[in-house]
Amino acid sequence: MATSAVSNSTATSGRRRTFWAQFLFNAWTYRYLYLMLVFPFVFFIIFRFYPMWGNIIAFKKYQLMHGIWGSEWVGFKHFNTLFDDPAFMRVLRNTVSIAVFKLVFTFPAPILLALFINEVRHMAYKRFVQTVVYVPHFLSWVIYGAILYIVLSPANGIVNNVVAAFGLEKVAFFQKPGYFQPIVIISSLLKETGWAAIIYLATIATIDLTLYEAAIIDGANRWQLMRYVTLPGLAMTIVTLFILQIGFFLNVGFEQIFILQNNMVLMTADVIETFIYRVGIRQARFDFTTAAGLFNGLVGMVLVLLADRLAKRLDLPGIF
Amino acid sequence: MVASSNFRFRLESVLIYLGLGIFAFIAVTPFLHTIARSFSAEAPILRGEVYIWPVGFSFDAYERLIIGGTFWLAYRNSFLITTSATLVQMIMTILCAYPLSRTYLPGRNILMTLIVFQMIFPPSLIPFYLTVREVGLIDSWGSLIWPYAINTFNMIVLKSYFQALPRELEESAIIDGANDFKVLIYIMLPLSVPVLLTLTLFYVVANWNLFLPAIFFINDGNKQPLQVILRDMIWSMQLATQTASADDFERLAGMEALKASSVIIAAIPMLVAYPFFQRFFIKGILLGAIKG
Repeated sequence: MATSAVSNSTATSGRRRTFWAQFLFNAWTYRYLYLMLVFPFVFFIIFRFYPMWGNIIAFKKYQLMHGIWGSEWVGFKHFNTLFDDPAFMRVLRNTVSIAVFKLVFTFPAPILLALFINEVRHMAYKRFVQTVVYVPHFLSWVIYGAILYIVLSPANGIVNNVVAAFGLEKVAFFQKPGYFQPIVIISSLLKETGWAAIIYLATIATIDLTLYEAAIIDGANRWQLMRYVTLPGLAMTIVTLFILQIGFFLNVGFEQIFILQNNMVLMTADVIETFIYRVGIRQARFDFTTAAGLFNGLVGMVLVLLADRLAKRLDLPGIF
Repeated sequence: MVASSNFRFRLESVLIYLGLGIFAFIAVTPFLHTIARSFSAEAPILRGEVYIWPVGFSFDAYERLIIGGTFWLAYRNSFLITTSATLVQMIMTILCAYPLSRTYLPGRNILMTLIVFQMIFPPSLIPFYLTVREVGLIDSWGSLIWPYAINTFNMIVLKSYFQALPRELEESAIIDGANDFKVLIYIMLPLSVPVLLTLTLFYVVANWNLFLPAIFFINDGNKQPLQVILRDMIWSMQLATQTASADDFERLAGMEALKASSVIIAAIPMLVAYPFFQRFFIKGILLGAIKG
């Protein structure tokens, strides 16, 4: 009994010694590699991990002079206020609605575009279309938003000029809540579809040409080739990107929505991220909006993990 | 039979070409309209006569903007922010990616787990904002650089690239007495020029288009980047045209053309760089498709 205790303790201390010896040995052997990591990890610790602790103010009554740690605990009070707040319920509805529309419209659009671009045999025309549809991706949402304001201007924008030319009444697009979400969806379609098609075009380029030759010999027409050769060739990419999209479901485009929204359409235009900015930073209700942010983050994390699990089940590479 | 299916094929081709043409046209019309307005006289714009070709050709709006000079400040700020931020980001991304690409490095798995964790659970806005404030970066360009020093996605792309380079290169250099810094600088980086260039461009575009961080962290109007200055200009002009009465006409003269030309002036650098970017970005997006 006694001897075993003694031998036990020497064994652990021996193991501990070898552990530390090993540690020091590694630290010295790979000192240059660890040295390289110092600045990056200082960055990660300050700007990525430390703010995670800051989330605890969601459970506190945050007071500037007491700081994050000194402020008094309030439990789930902010969460209760949040879920009793009709404004936040509206924000949640808008977020989910925009997210669903983006999934339904902006996800399949680049696939269709890639399939059609792939049918173009005339190289110059193909390059022309690609060049034109990629351009808007490089412009910021500020510039694109300003262009939308101009184009949709109620008095003399091109859209209303056309509307008036057909003898219809001009529409103040940016002042009617009903138009906001369609504007968001259509503008992301116009701005990003071309760019998003690149990955599909690249995948199509890797499909074995003999598959097409064999299908043509079997008498397949254009649509049959698309349906039975190209689409199956894209299946892996489509599913992988779809799962990623599910994982980032709640990221509906902070910058785009922030730039396009105004007070007249807030009813349909306010989403979680813009709500956190407006109420949190502008009105300095830090603790309350941190609760909203924490909720958003947790839902996002669960979705990402579920999506990853789903990917692995389907034998896809997964997100990580 | 053959003739008719051939005809059908032709017809379908025409429809596909036409459909793509229409999509491209709709995507590009907003730009053409804005360009047309910026070169038009004010009266035809207000009467709604301008579509995608200038009416009553005029350079006035550009003249006013160039003489006005607001854009020089905006360009200068954005140029300085973009160059310094990109430099910091490239150095930090390389320093992070290289050690993590050495699969033999003890502790590498723990570090990778931490990095993946902060990727799926990114800091939410308020704690992030409070952190930047605590560090004392509010109202300085540092707030647009340091909190964004590493884009994890770009870092993982670079890490995978380094990982795919043959181990023997490193080993022979170590045997010849080089340390890891020398291996990185004299062997790994020269072999990674294409991917480094692509990542630099990714960072440059993101920094040049940077908007939200400046809205969060910068209050001083003289320090704002191009995007924020442009938005403020457009908004104040928008407000002026909406609230103006008839006798304000003098003050509002040329406002519509001015709005359009500000947008065009702000867009020019990206449009000029676009043909160059297009080539490297397409390579870059494909690099990103290789799993880490």
